[in-house]
Amino acid sequence: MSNESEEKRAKGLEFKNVGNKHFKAGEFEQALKQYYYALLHLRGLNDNPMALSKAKDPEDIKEEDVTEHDKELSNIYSNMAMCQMRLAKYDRVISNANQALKSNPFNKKAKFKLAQGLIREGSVIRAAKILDELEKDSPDDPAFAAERRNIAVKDKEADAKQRKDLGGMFSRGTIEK
Amino acid sequence: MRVIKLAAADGAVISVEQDMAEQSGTIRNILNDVGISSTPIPVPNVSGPILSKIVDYWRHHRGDASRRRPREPLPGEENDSCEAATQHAISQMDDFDHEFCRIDQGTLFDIMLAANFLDVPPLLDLVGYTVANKMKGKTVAEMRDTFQVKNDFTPEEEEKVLRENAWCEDDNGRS
Repeated sequence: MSNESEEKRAKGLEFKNVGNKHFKAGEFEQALKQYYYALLHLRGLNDNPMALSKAKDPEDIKEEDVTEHDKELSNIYSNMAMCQMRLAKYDRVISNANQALKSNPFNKKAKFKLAQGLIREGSVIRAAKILDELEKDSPDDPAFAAERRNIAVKDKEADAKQRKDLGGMFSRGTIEK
Repeated sequence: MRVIKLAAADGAVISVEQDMAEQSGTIRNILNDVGISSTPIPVPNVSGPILSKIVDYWRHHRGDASRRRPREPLPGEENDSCEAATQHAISQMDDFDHEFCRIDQGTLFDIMLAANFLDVPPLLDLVGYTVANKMKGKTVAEMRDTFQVKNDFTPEEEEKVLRENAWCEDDNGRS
């Protein structure tokens, strides 16, 4: 890597570290800003125009093929998803988690964040599928159990709402003869 | 209209109005999550001249509000159909766009990388389309020459690949 690239990389990693400090201090918007700056410096360092056209099928990528660079990018996106969770911006959680998974489809933290975001946005079926996958590797993780409970709560709420919306449907209105 | 400042790789600071800059998904996200600050947003992987060209592109297309939102999935995109996506992209290109792409190859590739970095899908489509057209009708050797791609196949690999893909070439080995 050229000197210029080395410098950019170093700067990028510094921003990431400052971002981590802000996160630990509970300063989530500050953290996001640092993470963005990190990405601006780290993204595009390894770019080659021909690589842009290669459609990356998630089925084809093997874990050992993911570069350190991509893992780093993925971790930054995944940290951003965590900030968004704490800021209760669930659509952004889903966005950032998806970006993390684009760089590294094997990022478990990102998968979990995606599941959490989906649950809060109401997409519980997709979330449950992701949890199934994650639980295969770590069946006793209490965090997964907590989210399963959240799914159950959402299901109940959806059920109750549906009853309310559809209740008495057949006795409403009259049919014109 | 608020003004955003962008700092290019070479230190050049370019001021852009918010509605123009929001054609970049990357910038849109930063503005949404972090807000506008007085310090310029660094774009260290894009040079000043390329950034200027991209600002020109934004200026021309600033009236189109759909470019300031994440792109809706196109009909057929779920089925992985490139046809619909390609047709849609082509229908969005106007004379300015075609003129915009009359540049040397190096600049074209730099714009492609920048459009990817800044997440500007219509521009990425435009440049991709332009490059694809440059590939039409070329033999493998001609393509390698035009795009400066090294031949990293072993003779056996090369033979295998040519055989497997012979169906898409005409009798003279042209795409």
